[in-house]
Amino acid sequence: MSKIKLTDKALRAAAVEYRDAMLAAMPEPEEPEFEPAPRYKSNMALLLRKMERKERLHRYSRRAAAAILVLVLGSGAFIALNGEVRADFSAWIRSTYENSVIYRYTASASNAPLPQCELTWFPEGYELVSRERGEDYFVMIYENNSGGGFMFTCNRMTESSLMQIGISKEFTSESLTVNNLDAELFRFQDGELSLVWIDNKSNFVYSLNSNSFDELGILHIAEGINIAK
Amino acid sequence: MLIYMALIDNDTDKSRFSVLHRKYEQFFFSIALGILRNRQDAEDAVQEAFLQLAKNIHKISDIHSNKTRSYLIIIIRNEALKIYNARKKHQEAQLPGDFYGEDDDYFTLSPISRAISRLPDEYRELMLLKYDNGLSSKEIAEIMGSTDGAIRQKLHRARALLNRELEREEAEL
Repeated sequence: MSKIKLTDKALRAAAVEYRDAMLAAMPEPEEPEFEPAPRYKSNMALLLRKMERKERLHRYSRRAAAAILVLVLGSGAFIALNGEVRADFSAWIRSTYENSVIYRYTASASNAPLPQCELTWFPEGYELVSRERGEDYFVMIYENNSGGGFMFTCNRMTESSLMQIGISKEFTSESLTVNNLDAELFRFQDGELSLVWIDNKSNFVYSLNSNSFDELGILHIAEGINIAK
Repeated sequence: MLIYMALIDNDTDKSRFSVLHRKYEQFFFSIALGILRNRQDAEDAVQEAFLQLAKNIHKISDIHSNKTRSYLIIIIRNEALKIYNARKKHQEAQLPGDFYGEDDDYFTLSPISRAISRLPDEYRELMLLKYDNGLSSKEIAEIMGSTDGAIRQKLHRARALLNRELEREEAEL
């Protein structure tokens, strides 16, 4: 048996040391002319587009502390809420906390298919850069060349759905309507806006999030969304 | 289950995958061609390597680090070897990453690092993926085209081989 103990810590340190030595000693490979075949080019272009979309979504969600969080909890997993009030939307209970608002959905899940949505107006220079559609939600991200962006989402709410807005950011909120649907606009301290509105008949919740527009801008976009059921 | 967390940010960083693709595509091709000696096969290996990278992109914290470079070398090398083995080509593989030189640098390494350098290729790479890249045996199995159980066994054997190498070196002193 060796006197040296092969602990995980010792192995980690040795692996790092070996790797650096190996890379330093490795000659630069010759660079043959690389002219990939069309099949390779098209496969790689496809993979690059997919990865860019995936990473963009990941980046948006990772940075979220978050403006909006929609959770689907297992049945019976509701957290205890104090000071609950029945929201204007009949199937919803709204609770206010210091840095967040929680909407709890209490009705049965909607069987309606996710709607097809089209943004009939958004500011010039923006384009759709990512679209993700799941069984119960979709996300559309628009960006411009100057780093501005906004995200439009739709979620089907189920009996155990919980929507939390704010979480750690300070904000103020205001009730309003979007195309005659009850809505709430959240203004965060860092200038970000989140507009949430609920179609109480189909039990879909929509949101628009942006740090690039003022209140009128985000309302203009929301009012212009064509929702085809 | 988390459906999504939504917030717009101003992060205009390029996709990390795109950056790695630009940085390593030619390099990958060179390594794969060195092993396979066939451009079409090398392209296939490069493509497979980038697919592996796509699956594990979340594991990469610093795209410019030595840790990432070493990880990517292991990935492309393994993808090329999979093709090599599958197609039963008979040319001798030029394997990058071997570091057997017993020059001055070699003796500045710690005894465990020296022992790692003397392990067979496969075991050496397992040790790097496990202890440098921090991958689980399941994740290593995916890269190596093996199973979780087989990788656990091989990791166990690699540790035993390391021990034997250390004993041998101690006996020689």
